[in-house]
Amino acid sequence: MSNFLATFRLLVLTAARSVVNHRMKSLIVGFILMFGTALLVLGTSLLDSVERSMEKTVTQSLAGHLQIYSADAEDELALFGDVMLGGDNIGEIEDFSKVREPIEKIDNVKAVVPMGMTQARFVMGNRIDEVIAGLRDAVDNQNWEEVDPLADQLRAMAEDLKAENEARAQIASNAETYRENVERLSRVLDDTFWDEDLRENPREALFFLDTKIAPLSSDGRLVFMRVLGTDPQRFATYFDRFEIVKGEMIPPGERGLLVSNRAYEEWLKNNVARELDKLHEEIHEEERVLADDELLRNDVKRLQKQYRQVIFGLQPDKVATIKERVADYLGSESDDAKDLLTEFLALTDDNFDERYTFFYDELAPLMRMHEFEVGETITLQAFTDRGFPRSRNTKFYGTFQFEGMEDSDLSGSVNLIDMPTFRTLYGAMSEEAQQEIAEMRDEVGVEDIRRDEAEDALFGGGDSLVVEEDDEEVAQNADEIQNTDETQNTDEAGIAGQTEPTEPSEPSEPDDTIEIDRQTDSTYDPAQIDNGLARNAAILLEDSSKLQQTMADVRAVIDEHDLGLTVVDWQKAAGIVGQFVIVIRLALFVAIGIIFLVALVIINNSMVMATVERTGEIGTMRAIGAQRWYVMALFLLETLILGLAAGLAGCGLGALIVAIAGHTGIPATTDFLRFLFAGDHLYPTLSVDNVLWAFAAIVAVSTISTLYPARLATRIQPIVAMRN
Amino acid sequence: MKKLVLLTLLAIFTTTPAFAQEEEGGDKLSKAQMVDLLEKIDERQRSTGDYQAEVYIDQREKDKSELLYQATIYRRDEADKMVILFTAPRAEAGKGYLRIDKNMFMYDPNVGKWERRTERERIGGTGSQRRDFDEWRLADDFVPSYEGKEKLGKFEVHHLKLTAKDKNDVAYPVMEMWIDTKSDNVLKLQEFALSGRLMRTTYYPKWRKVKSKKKGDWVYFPKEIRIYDEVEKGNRTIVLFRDVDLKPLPDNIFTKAWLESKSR
Repeated sequence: MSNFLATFRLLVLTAARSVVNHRMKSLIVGFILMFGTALLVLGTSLLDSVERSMEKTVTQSLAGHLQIYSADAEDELALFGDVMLGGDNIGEIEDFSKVREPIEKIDNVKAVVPMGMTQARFVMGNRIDEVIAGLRDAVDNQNWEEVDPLADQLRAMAEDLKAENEARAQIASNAETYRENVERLSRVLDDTFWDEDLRENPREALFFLDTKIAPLSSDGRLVFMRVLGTDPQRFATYFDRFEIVKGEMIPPGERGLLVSNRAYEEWLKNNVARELDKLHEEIHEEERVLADDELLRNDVKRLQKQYRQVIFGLQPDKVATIKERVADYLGSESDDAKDLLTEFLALTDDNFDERYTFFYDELAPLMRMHEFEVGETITLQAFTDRGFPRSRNTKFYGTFQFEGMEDSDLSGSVNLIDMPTFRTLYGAMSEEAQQEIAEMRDEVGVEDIRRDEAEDALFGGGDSLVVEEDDEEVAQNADEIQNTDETQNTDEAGIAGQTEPTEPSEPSEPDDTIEIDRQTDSTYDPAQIDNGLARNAAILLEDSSKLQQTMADVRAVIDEHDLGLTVVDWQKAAGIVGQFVIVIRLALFVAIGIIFLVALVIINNSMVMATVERTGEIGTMRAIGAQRWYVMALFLLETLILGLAAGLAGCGLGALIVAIAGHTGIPATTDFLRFLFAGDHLYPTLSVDNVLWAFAAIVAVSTISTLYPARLATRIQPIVAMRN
Repeated sequence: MKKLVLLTLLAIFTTTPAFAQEEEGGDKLSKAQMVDLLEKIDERQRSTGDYQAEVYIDQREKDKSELLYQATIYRRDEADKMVILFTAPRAEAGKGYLRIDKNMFMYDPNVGKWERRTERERIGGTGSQRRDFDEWRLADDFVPSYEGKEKLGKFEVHHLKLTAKDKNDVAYPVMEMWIDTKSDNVLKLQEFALSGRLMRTTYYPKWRKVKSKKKGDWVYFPKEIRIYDEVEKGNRTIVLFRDVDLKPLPDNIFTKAWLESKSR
């Protein structure tokens, strides 16, 4: 034993001496190994941290740990969008209650939350349309007191539009069109229109406003947003990062909408206010200076051109107050809104802060700051898969965000509505509605003809299909239309049937109000949430580390109850962003693989060179009794010492970088990074696994790379050494 | 040189009435004859007075649940006004369209709001469009060219190509039309997008005519229309016209207030 230890000690000493003696080679190889190890430690730590933070973003904001959806789906579920944008044919879960109960019984399942995503439009017709609608109501009710302020508002808008059209007429190639517009607008600006035309023939005057004036305004905004139908109470309970920012939570059993706070401030805020906010952020957070920054100055110029947004559509008294306040502030004599506001918005580094504060203190309270405010009822509209719009009036209860992801567009890209409203917008048809259609179809009794058979069936199978048959429907209106001609008159009418002349009668009002199924309730029975259609559902777990086991359990329950569903984990359900970490990990491994391959070749080459250089030394060792295994061990030990030293240094370096990054945080410079980092910064942490794997990998690489040169060395004969 | 002479002769003959006269008996229709034909088709559908009809719009689709609507059409062609009021099923009843000149509005009683819609609006999400229910203005809106005399099933038809004078005024800028040579009834219509892509094929297997005292002539209207969507293959729409009535309608029908009042 003591002999073995002595030999081992000698081997280690010889190897260490050799490492020191060949300093240059050792430094180069050691540096490569150290770099590779540090990169491996850093890369895997970062990726693990990103994966953990993204898991938080995805599971706690939208997806839950698992998602279920129809097994018949044509597209894969992609909650945050897919490569093939818009592919969202994920089928339907016809009756969510049948799914929730058995799955919630599984151990480790905390909750199953129903979901349904659709693209919805926030209907905000142009402001002129809104005012005309108000005017029409006032005229219909003969409420002339209400008419006057609305008329003033319309005149103010018409004045704006007239100025715009006059300016366009000067430069446009189709100047005639703009001149016609100016003429139309002039009629609205004339007192006769309001004092005589509207009072004497309100229908004609309102027609004129509706059809000739309203289309001239292009301010109507189309804001499309994704809305997620769900059980708002369960969503708020189980997605624990969810928090209300403005307003309140949708009360149980009430139809309602919650808008992502990010989207509300980004897309629905008054343009001028939003641009001012952006400038404020650039100047104070990014420390940009207007005087030195042409891009920023261009933003100011653009902002000036949007001055109209401050006053457009406001009641004349508010416009007057705004003009008055701005004129006072500027010390200007002007009464022209364009002059005043353009001057006010001529921002510089010196006046920005003061004017920003003035805007919010003095002007904003008079303006309409968002397209809709908390508490208002708005119209949501979505296009069903048949392309027909479905609309629903919904109360806007407030805005929400996910804690730590306030600035992420991706995590703020979804707005919440209650499940019954989602079903209306999605166009889900109740059994009764389907039954009604089936009955109507039986009554009509029309034959369905396929496209490829149409021409033969309609025009080829004999004239009977095109010859007019006896038609009793027309004859039924015998008081107006008589003498249905039952025969075909090919000379005169071809395939048309004929009916004799009718005597015009006095106009009569068609039938009274029709029976409709108006869906205007603002409440619903909470039991409806579960009893009905959902498109997918989130499964939240007690212990996320048992995800794979629970996924298998869910799959078993789906099979057992024949639910016809697919279950996927959060990473797959997230779509393209969920796959991002996998792609990056792959890229990192490829990069590290290349580094190690290079290291392997370099170590191998330098050891081969060393072997050649040390032929004499090895030959002598062999001549004085060293066995082949001794030479082999010596070489392996040399690299192992180098690998251990470099590996330790690399691990230390990697750990140090991770620690620094973990302390200072890696800033998320883009929205996508904010989503991946679950916030503005990523604070990576180091795990023992990361270090051990990196260390083991580097030792293995260094050992493998020495096998060949060591084998070469063992073949050196003592005689060769003596000859040299 | 020969080519030039030929072209000159052709130019002279095509513009002389004598040649046109000669062509009448031939296979090809002259430009003037085509315009006359379009004017005749338009004129036959012009009701002069008012028009009211009950329609069923039956939409069949490949993989989706099917749609069926019952609606009433009110038209006052002279004033360029039209109303489509859905009367069944219950979930859709009360919704409607109002067209005044080039403005098309849609009303949804569930939200009590009006919205502007375009010429390409798919009525009720079916394959039908406003034009399918409205008076035709082929001669006003399109320039015809002759594609040939063909057979459509058992019918001999003129095949015309119509190009829109102003593509902003129509749903599709190019149409091809097959017209029965004997009766001058349109039997088939294909509509093309600006890119040349075929969008819809429509068949008119049944026409009907009603005598109008006010017009002092017959008013023609299709009794059945079958529309095949050429983009979403497999989607088809059947429109049946029933209870056509030419009695005068009250003025207030063509107003937003009237459509709103129907579902109050």
